[in-house]
Amino acid sequence: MQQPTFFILTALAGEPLHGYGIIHAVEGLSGGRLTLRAGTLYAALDRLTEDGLLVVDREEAIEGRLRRYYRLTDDGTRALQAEVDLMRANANVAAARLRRAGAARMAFLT
Amino acid sequence: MSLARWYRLLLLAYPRRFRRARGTEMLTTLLDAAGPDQRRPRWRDAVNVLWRGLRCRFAVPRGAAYVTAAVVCALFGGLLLAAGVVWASWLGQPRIPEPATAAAVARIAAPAWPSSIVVHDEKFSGPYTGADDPYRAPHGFEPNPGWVQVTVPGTVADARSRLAADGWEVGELTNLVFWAAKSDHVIQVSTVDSTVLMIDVYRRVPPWLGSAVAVGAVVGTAGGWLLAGRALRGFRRHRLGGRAAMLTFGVPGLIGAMVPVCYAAANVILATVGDGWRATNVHYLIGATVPFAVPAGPALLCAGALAVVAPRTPPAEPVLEPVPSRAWRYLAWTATTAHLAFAAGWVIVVAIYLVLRSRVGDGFLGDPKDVVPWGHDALTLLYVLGFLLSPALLAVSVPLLVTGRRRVGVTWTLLLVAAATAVVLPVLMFSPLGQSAGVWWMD
Repeated sequence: MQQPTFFILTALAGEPLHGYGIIHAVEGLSGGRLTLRAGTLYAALDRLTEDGLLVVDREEAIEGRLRRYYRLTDDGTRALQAEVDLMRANANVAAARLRRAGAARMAFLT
Repeated sequence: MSLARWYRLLLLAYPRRFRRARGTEMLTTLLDAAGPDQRRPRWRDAVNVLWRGLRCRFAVPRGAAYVTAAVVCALFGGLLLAAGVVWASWLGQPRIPEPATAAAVARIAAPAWPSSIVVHDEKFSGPYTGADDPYRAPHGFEPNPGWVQVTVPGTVADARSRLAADGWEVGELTNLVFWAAKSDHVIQVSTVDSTVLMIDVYRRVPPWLGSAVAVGAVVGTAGGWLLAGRALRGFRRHRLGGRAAMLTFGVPGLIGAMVPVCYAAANVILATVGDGWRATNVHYLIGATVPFAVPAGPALLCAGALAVVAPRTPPAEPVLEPVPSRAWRYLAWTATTAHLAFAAGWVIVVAIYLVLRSRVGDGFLGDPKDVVPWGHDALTLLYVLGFLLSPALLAVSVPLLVTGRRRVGVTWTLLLVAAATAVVLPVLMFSPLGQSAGVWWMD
């Protein structure tokens, strides 16, 4: 799963959000490392909707502006959970390797 | 111009269908994300919208099957345009010299009266055959396909010195053969018995042909990709009937397109590896394209034409409802039954053959009509029709499999297995066992 996809799903895990809401949330969740552009966002929303990971929750049309709120589907929640599990497992493996390497270095120095 | 208007302008990069569905929503998001005093789009946003819009307009739908189809179409487009450039080069200047011109050229090498002048009008270069290839000329002497052969009394040494004196660029003399070139003409001079010369007069390949063919190949590949993307997006918008119609033309067209692509690639690569790159190698493109592309091109065009008439807006309901439609199920079961019946005919014949062979060893098996007195004719009919019609039935079952791939279930799986028999059984018929059983049964 690519980083924008991961953060979009993460942003929508809390509550339904509209386009700008997602951009804002993703920027906050990523600590400012990821700034989604509108073109990228809507390409991802199209793909995720087609894959059944998102659905439109509701629409708000005010003064010629249209805000569609998206929410995760059950499949979307499962996909995000699977990605989180995978990332956690990968992180655990990497941390264990680093710990072993650190212990070996300490043993060598002492 | 207001910011909203700027963004509306940028959103024109997206196809109309997308703008209808998402234009207002995307514009709202862009305006929400803009700063309070912003009057023009930020350049990064502008580039992003333009890039994503063009990708949306020209992208091939996601999925391995779509991408494969687009790649085949792109390669086919590249081949067609490259071959078209070669063809056009022959329209610009005659491909073969006039017999009178050839005789005049030959007279420079040997002044005697020609005993024969024969035109060899060979447009299509065949597969590369190594050192004996008729177009194998030294670098700088590359000819067009087709030549005029002038047979005239004379000697090779005299001819070579006469041509050199006339200002011709003369190649090395090897095994009593040499090439010479001047302006638009290339000649190959050889001898059979040291007193009679055979002077093959060619038109020279234009020096720009290799580059023009490369440009044609790139433009054709890009065009093929774009047209395939458009057709495949039309395929997705179609309902079941439209998809089946497109597949009926598209699948044979794609298979047919692969043949010239592989043929041309193999020949150009083999010729280049075997003899180095030279402009004459591009003639293999014509040889590959014309005979093979004739059936594939129209089939793909028909599929493309069907894509054009696809509904412009996505249907309100999902295209493929999860419950199989009655028509799809009926067709699927019919195709499955037919495939399996044909397969059964082959399997029964082979099974009888194996049983008898295990009993009598290498001895005489007996007349099939005596061995299977009941149903012999029906079995023979199934056996023969299975060989002839089962692969053709794939034109029905493959579209059904593709359009019904979201309905994977017992019916779909059975159809897949049954369709596989139409591919496997004809191949098995040519195996030693299949041939032995077939000869015994049909003899």
